[in-house]
Order: sequence, then C-alpha cells, then structure tokens
Amino acid sequence: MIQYKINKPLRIASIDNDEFLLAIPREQVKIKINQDVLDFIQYLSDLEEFNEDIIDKYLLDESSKDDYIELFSSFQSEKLIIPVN
Amino acid sequence: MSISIKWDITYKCNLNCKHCINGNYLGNINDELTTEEFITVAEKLSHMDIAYIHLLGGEPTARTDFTDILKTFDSYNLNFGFNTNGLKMNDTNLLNYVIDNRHLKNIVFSIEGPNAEINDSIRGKNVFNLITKNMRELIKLKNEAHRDDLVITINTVLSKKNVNYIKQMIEFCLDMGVNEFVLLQFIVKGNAIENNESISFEDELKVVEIIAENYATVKNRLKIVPRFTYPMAKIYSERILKKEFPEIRHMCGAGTNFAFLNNKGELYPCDRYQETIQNNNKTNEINLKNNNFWNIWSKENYSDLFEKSESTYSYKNISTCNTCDFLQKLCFPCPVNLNEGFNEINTSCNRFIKLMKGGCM
Repeated sequence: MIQYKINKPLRIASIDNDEFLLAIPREQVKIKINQDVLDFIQYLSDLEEFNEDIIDKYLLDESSKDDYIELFSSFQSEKLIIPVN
Repeated sequence: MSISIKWDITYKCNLNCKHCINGNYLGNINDELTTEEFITVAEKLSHMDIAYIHLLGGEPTARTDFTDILKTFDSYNLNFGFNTNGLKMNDTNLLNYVIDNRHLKNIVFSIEGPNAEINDSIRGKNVFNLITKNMRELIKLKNEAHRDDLVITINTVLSKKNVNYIKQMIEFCLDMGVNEFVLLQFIVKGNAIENNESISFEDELKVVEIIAENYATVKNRLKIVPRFTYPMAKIYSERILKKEFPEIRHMCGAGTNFAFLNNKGELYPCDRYQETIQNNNKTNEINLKNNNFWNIWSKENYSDLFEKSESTYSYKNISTCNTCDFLQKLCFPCPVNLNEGFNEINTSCNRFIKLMKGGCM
C-alpha cells in the first residue's frame, strides 16, 4: 500500500463560520474546505506518513467511512497528499 | 499559478532619490551575495515552478557582475525583468546582453517627470537627459531585434512635484515608444520620510480624471497601470465621468505565490514583512544559499500574511472594505498592518464612494 505524507507547507485562512481556504504553495492550488476536512488534514499533518488505513484509525464510527475514502482520493488528486519518496 | 519573486539584488546605487523607500538600506552591501552564491540561489529556483523574477535594489546594474546575472537567468530558463535608473544602460556590452537575452521580459525605467526640471529635482542633476538618451537607444535596438516580448515600462511615483504633469507624462511615454506606464503610490518610508511629497485625495482625483480623459485614445499604444489608486476609482470613472478606465488590481500572494529575496539571499513572504520574520527566525536559517526553499517557506510566520489577506474576518471592521465587491477578488489591501481591532485602512475608496453618492469631497 502506498505511503503518503501531507504536501507541506500548507496555508489556511478562515473565510466563514465553517469554511476555510487552504493553499498548497508547492502546487499553487487553493481549495475551500469545511471544519471536518480541516480537522482531518490537521490530524494527517501530525503524522510522518500514512496510508488509506488511517481512515479507520481516525473515524470513531464507520458511518462516514465512504465519504472519507472519497476525501482521501480527492486529497491525492489535489496533491494535498503525496507519496513518500 | 506559479511563484513570482521580487529580488533586491544589491543595495549599491549610483543615485540617492528623494523618495527612495530603500534609502535606509542603500550602501548596506556587507554579505551581499557573490556571483557564485547568486548562481547557487538561481540554480535552486530553476528547479521550482517560478513564473517570473523581478530584480530591484538599489540599482541592479550597479552590480559589477550584472551581465553574469543576466546570463545566469538565461541559462536556467528563468523569466525575469529588472528596474533601473537607466544611467548604465549606455554600456554596449550590457545592451547586447539585454537584447539577446530571451528570458528577459521587462525593463522598468524610473522617471519622475516629463522634463529634466521635475525629474532631476527628485532623482539628481542631469539624470533625465542621460536616461532618455539611453532609453531611446535601447528601444531602437529592441525594435530592430523584433523583441516584442520585451516590455519597456516607465514607473513614476506620484508626488506633489509631478502630479500636475501626468498628461505630459503620458505624451512623453508615447513619444519614447514605451509599452507601459505605471503610476505608483508615494510611500512614506526610507528617504521619503524626510522628503514627504505624498499627494492629497484631490490630487489623486485629478490624476484619475486625466487618465480617464486620455485612456480610450492611448490604450492601444500604451498600457496604463494606475497602481496609485484602488478599484473604486475605475467605478467612479465609468459611472460618473462616463469614461473607460484601465483595470486596477491590488493582489497579495505573500507567502504563497509571491516571495521576496534580499541582497544576502534571505527569503521572506514579502519585503514589507522582514522585521517580523527576522524577530522570530535566525537569518542564516532563512537564507536560500544554504537552505531549501520549502524548509524556509514552512516556518511559522511565513503563513501570517496569507491568513490575514484571505480571511474575511481581517477586514470585517473596516467600513470601506467590508461591503466592497472587489475585496479579496481584485483588491487585497496590504495585510501587513491588519491587526485585531484594526478599523481603518489608508485607501481613497471612501472618498470615491462619497463622490458617487453625490456628496462633496
């Protein structure tokens, strides 16, 4: 299974009650995210590396697992997470 | 979007202009990057997605290795431009490098007035005649070489001394055959603290009206960039004066797609944010000659300006900004001074709004 890391540095600005602007300077990408997504990104940021199994560790219940799998996949395509070496 | 870099490559200068915002740095050339160190830094940048590098100072051409610097950018395929006072642009060797350098995209000449009297009162004796002679020669060579991709710009800092000569400046730009005329705001910093010639709103309005009056007839020959004012001036021109007006943008990519390098190779999110970065970091740890760009870019204070400029909360107490449609689209008022509770900002927008509502100035 491919190991990933967060594509640091990140820039985060609060733009609304539950909305944040996230920039990835290395990729020159800006995306709008909500608090739940930000919490997940911050959790991943503290890890040196991780793979998709991290979703099971992160989630307290299984009900939203599919959403997080989709989110993980979008992180890959946005290059918010990149393979370790 | 790639990264753009503003790089003060030297604080040597052969002039000492009255409004120079870097006046306090001039002559501070200890630890300035050597040619080899300059190449090391440029080589690092060449591995990144860099859109453009603009060289300033001081006077970039005052570096004795300036032609080596030109060659370095060319060999690393880095698009760049530079500001100059134009005095050294009569050097045939330098002119040849300039014309042949396909990665050189912009040369900006600083000229403060349409004649020697006004210009030289700010920039120094006999400067105007020398610059205009050198500029004409450069433009002739550029045209002969069909370098349409090389933009020649005249920068003018609006001050009490030149504010009544903007129509003549536009005519002067057309006569010189430059591509672009940029009008800059007077910033009270450096030498300008002792020589404060900043203009009033009434003068700003006068300049807006002159640009509005002339823009439609000159726009195909000369790009006018009114950086001295804010997007509200364009609305005023279109709604009240019923005249076309060039686009006004005040973008801020500090810490994301904009970076500043000083003459020592220290990397900052913006030239206006050096003090905070220096207070919280060791300067050897933010120097690009011996550190990785992204390691420096990951340091905590490097995200401050993004957090401020992109957050809607930063401007919520500023009455002229918090209802503005341009905010964080075309206009990012400088976030450096935005602190909690900050409720005023030094723009002329509220005056333009008042005028449009039919109020007096």
